[in-house]
Amino acid sequence: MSTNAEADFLFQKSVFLLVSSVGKEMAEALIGRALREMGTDPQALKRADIEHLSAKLEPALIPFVGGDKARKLASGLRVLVGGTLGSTIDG
Amino acid sequence: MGNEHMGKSERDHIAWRWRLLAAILATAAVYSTMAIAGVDRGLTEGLRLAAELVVFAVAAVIGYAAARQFEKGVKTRLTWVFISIGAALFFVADVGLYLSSVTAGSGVAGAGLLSAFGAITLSRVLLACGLWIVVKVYHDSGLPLRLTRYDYGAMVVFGALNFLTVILGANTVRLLLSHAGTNLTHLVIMICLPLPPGLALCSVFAVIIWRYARQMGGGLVAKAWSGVLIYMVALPVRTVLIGLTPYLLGKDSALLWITGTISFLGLALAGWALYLGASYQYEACTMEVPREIDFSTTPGETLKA
Repeated sequence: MSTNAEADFLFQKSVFLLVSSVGKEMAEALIGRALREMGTDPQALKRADIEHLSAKLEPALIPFVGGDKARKLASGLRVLVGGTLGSTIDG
Repeated sequence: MGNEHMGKSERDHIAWRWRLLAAILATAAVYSTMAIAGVDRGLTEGLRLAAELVVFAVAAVIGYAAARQFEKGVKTRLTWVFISIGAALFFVADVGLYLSSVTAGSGVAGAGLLSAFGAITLSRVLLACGLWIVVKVYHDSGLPLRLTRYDYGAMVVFGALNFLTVILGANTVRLLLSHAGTNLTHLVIMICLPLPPGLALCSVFAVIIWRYARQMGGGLVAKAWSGVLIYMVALPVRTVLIGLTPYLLGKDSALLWITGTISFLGLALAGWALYLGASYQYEACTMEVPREIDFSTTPGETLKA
């Protein structure tokens, strides 16, 4: 599995988690900005970054969906990583 | 994502959006029928007032419910509080105008008019403040704003529409003041002074937020702000139509029911759009996350090397 494929997979799944609330372009903008603040970018995203990414995204989401939902979405992102790990074991 | 992933309360909450719309359309049909049939004007106007009050009361309640989904200190909470208060102020304005019409010549009529104009002005000022907060939130999110020449054109058109409502509204104010038998012109002018700049700011911020909402690429929050903006456009359109209808249809009293129906539908549908926007925001804040990640952790999905 190439690094770029994994990065793209993780980025798209992260966007998908937020899409129904804030829309695709806004999700990409928020995630992209969080990754830049982490010193990385969507092309270099790794599973190890997800925890930090979820911590960055939570405050960015609060003005749009409120604190409770932002926490749930950030938590969902961490679950996403668990789901991804499960998938690779099955695959 | 189908409805099968929603809880019962979520399905009910969404169903009430369309039930309210159906109730508004049914009320408009009943009102028109009563007016055409020559039913006592007090009854028909009472029905219209009651329906308008219900719509704006419901919009105020759901707006406040949406505001409570944000913690204190979160700027968006203040925006939705302002929107909720604005809907409640329309409630006050409607009651004030109705009281002034049924108690013409008394002190109550004057108080009703002043309350109405004050409420309308304050609602626009609060809305402008709330929209400014939203513009700042979007700006701080990092989503780039790509205004087109059509957006600038829309600002001009929307601003002109709002300016026209001030002109038409001034004529209505003079008429109402003469019927009320009071000399409150100077006081009304002072109360309404913030209205034109408030409307101008609303025109600019509304278009900016519309563009941001379009650029979000879907989602419930974009729908929420689209609802609020439809409310903002529906109100001046309604005022202009009411102002133009007598000239288009003639001042024949047999056709006055059309003006009344347009007035009711315009206001009620504007209130419904506000309810819809607040409802989408509420849904964005409360919809459960597991529904959203079902499709991102599909069993058997693998990464291909």
